[in-house]
Amino acid sequence: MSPFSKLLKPRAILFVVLCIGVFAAACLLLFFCFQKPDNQSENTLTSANLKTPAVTREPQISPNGARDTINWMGHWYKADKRYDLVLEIERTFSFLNQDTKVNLQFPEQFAGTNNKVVIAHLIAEMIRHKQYDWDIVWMDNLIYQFVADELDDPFWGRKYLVDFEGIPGFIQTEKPFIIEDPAYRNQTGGILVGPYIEGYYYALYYNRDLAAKMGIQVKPFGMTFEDLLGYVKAADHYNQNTEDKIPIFFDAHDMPSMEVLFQNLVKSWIDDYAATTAGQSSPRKLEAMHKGFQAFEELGRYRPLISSYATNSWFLTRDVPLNDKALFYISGTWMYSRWRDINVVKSLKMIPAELPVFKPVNYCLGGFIPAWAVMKDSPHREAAIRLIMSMSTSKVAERWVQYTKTPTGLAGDVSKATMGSDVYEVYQRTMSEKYGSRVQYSFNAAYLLGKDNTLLQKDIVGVLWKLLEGKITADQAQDSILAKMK
Amino acid sequence: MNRLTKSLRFKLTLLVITVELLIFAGAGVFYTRQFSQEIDGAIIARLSIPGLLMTRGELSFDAVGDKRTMEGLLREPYSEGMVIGLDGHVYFSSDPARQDTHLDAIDGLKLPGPESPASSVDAPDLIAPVQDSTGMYLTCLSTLRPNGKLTGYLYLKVGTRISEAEKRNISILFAAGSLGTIVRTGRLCGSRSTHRWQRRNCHTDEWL
Repeated sequence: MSPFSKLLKPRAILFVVLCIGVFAAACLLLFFCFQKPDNQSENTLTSANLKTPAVTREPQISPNGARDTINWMGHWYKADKRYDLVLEIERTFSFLNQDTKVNLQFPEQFAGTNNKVVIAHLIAEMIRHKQYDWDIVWMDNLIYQFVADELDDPFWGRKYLVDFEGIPGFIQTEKPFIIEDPAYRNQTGGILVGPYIEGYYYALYYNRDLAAKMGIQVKPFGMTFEDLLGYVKAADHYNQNTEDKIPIFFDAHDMPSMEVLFQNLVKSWIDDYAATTAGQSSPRKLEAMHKGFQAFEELGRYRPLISSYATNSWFLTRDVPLNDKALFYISGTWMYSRWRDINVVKSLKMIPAELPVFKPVNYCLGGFIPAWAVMKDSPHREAAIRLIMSMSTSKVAERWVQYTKTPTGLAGDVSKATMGSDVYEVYQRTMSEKYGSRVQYSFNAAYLLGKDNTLLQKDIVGVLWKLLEGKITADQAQDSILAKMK
Repeated sequence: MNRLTKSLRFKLTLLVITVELLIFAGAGVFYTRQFSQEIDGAIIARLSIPGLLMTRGELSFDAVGDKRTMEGLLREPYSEGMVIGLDGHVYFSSDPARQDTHLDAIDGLKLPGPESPASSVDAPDLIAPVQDSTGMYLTCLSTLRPNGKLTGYLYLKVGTRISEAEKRNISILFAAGSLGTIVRTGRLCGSRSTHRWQRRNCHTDEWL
């Protein structure tokens, strides 16, 4: 048998065919497994346009050849997500308006402080010297009032600020009550100076850890003054039996908070929303004021106020309750962002509860305020108006609510702060459901003592501190205020 | 052995397996390519989604910094994203270091100017594969036209891990299916019943 005929033997054929089969199968398997993605083939993932030569680009110049620069005085510097929102607004506007430059600077950067009195002075100086370095200024009801004091003109806004009610499309961007209720317009001299982005409710914040330590269970809603007095007594009892005494109420001299508690109690005694917003005094209101002083006198028996209140600067000491150095702090829901900015984990222990009342009412303390205004004579007024209008949108409203867990005066937010996933959202939702738009806080004493006595708010604050220190009685407090009334 | 290899059963089995091998190999190559192209087409379509949504105002520009959102849209590992103005200014970026910088080119891809055909309304997105030491990526440059006006570009860079795995899975499935079929065919041809049927009906061992 020749070697060739040996090769034709079935065993050899079988062997060769099997080898070929195994080899083919292996090749097939390898081919399948290690096949490169087809994105290397030109017909799918690359584009012929890749060969397009790049064009040298210059910054886009506006048709008139000038490049506008809006000087924007910021707000909410490093205030957690509110700061993020401002930066997002600025970047989005800059991207969509590349012929306009936005120079956003925050008071903390150019003035070294966010003190509203300082900002108000700066605005007043701008107006006095007719030198408008800022097209958009930080503006809320307090700053407006401070500028009014400096210029001695409560209606200065009509002369120097753009009235956004006259800007086409603006009215539709606000919630109806902002437009319909003159109280908002009256905050700023009878005009709407810009979008009412910020909304807030006042709350009695308590430190959850300290409350647990003291055996206090705080009612989240429907708290009465008797409830609060009970908490103060329990805290005092705790302090009597420990060396590590914990102040019951935190306060700061430059942002007094005890007046908020007083106002809430007094307004609940007045029991008439329209009366609480009207700038007229009445026997009922004076009776409510006395009732409020009596409540504070009662609280004062336990010396609940932090002893350093007269030297505490709010911005520098706002972390005191967070660091277990005070049980209660009365403030707006903006504290959510402020505390988160200090320490996200610690901020979770500050729980908001509804402020106590003498009797249940259908309104609460809080409000809606603008954040910025456009100077009427600013060099880039039209561009500044466009920027302000770019933030008057439902998208910004939605983001504001999600970011800050506070309400907004802008129309279009769907979530209402508020699917109720945590105590802050639950607080927002419940307050929103309970009180709707019947939310108001009086920054001056007109609600109690009439328009002629608006400036007595400071005196009331001073009296309240004295009551909490046990230095005067309710009757003395009442007399001292009545004596100053015009 | 000689008897076995001379048997019709053996020869038929061999023939069937060889034919199956050829058919499966051909079909495997064809369909794997087809499916790969389908997968690539899907990636291209997904890469265009963020730009379209941004143009329509339904996705905010700062979403490029939100990895979760972008991965939800792109279904691939999200590596980088930027919103770039016409002058190359970076307005939004997933990488804070890139924010407010100027770019003329990204990953070798030069930004087309407003006059370029690549910036025309009907121009497709510029999509290119990029490979570096960390792996294979796809980059996509979409034009952004909020309010109908060319305003800038959206640059996206995504990994291809998921699509590559999908392709590999399809290949493995084909290969495993092919081998399984071949093995079953072999066993079927060599089984007793086939042998009995052969003996009963086809005394044709002498055919070949």
